[in-house]
Amino acid sequence: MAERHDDLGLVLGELGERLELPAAVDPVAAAIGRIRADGGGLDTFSRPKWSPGRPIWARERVVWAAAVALLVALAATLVAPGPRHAVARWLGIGSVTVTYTDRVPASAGGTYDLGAPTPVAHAIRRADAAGWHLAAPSAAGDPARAFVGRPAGAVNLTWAPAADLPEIGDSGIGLLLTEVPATTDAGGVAKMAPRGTTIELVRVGDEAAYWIAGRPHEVVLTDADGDVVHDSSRLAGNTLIWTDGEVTYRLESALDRDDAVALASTLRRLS
Amino acid sequence: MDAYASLLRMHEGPARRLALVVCGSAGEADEAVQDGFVKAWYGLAGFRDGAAFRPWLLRIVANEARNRRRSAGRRAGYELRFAEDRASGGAAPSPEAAVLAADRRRTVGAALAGLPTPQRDVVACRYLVGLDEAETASVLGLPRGTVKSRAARGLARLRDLLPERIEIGGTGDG
Repeated sequence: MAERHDDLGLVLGELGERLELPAAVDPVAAAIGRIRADGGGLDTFSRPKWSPGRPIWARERVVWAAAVALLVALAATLVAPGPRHAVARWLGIGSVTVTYTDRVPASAGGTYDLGAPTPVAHAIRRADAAGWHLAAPSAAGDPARAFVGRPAGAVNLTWAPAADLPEIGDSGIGLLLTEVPATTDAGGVAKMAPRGTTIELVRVGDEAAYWIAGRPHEVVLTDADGDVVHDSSRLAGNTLIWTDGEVTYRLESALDRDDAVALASTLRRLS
Repeated sequence: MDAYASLLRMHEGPARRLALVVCGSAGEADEAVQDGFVKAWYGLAGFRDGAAFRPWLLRIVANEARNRRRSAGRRAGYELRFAEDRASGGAAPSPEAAVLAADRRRTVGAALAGLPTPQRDVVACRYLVGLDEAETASVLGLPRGTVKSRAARGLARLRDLLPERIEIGGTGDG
């Protein structure tokens, strides 16, 4: 008995959907295992001065390209708050996204409004009450000041310039640590990076992190409704962004990559 | 590394199907996919900024698959397996229809093996993997015109290879 079908292409398409792939092998896991087994060609950072006790890896353009490809591939899904948060978690960088743009305002990096100043102890209690915990790199000592409210729900901690913490521009600040809890009302943080900015995917402890350095870049906040709020208040020094647990951290300093990663690796809960 | 693994997960399905239809052997295909993923990692530094990642990755995988096919040489067979119909909801096919459909799949799959390799690669990329013409050209390293002509000739040849009991209408060029 003859069987008719309208189009050979459709038949082939149906066959493609039914292709049986071998189930015994996970090629992604196998490939990652092979890369790890031979060292991955990953450069190990020089032993940092704040010895985190754990080797940290990075390979500049390699992982940078992977990160950019991820962002390109997912750009369309970074619009609504729901998908944005889902994607951010998937990317492993909390509520932070990084996009390229040629339209960074000239004011980027020129001013800083870190929110409402508050005693550090109050900021700690406030975070505890909100169900998350403030942390700071122990190697930097106690933070000098705390600010709240930019972005909503977040806390900014600052340290004065010191021998190990060069001043960021002429800001009078040696280190700025922004902590954004992964609560639904905290909005998100995006970095609008002009071309020429260096973006690398590095590692802080076991977490993926972005290292952003070079030209000043603008921080873009998203509010609780997912609306974008351009914020040129940041210092726009070299920036490290990573997530630990439910909190996204953004560490801004004049440190180089290795030292910033090493400093971030000493993060401890404040109490 | 986690980011790279996540990136691979996004493209794992097309990469595996591509390797399979190029190799025609499930075991060789997954080896080719692994090799491709590893090579892509080491080759990421050469990835052109702003380029689409998927065709770049798939091209590497396709090259690995073709290398394995060439290494296997004439002794290598070309066999694709297809999932059978599964009853789902109220739309399960009748036993007779299921048998006919399975026969059609096996027959068309076997006919694919009879295509000249250059035509089969294009037809498989376009229709079994679902790549568009531009992606197919990129993945196979061919001009788009060549993809178009090989797809048309491949479909025509494939139709000729099918036994009379499998009638498929249409021009098949779309």
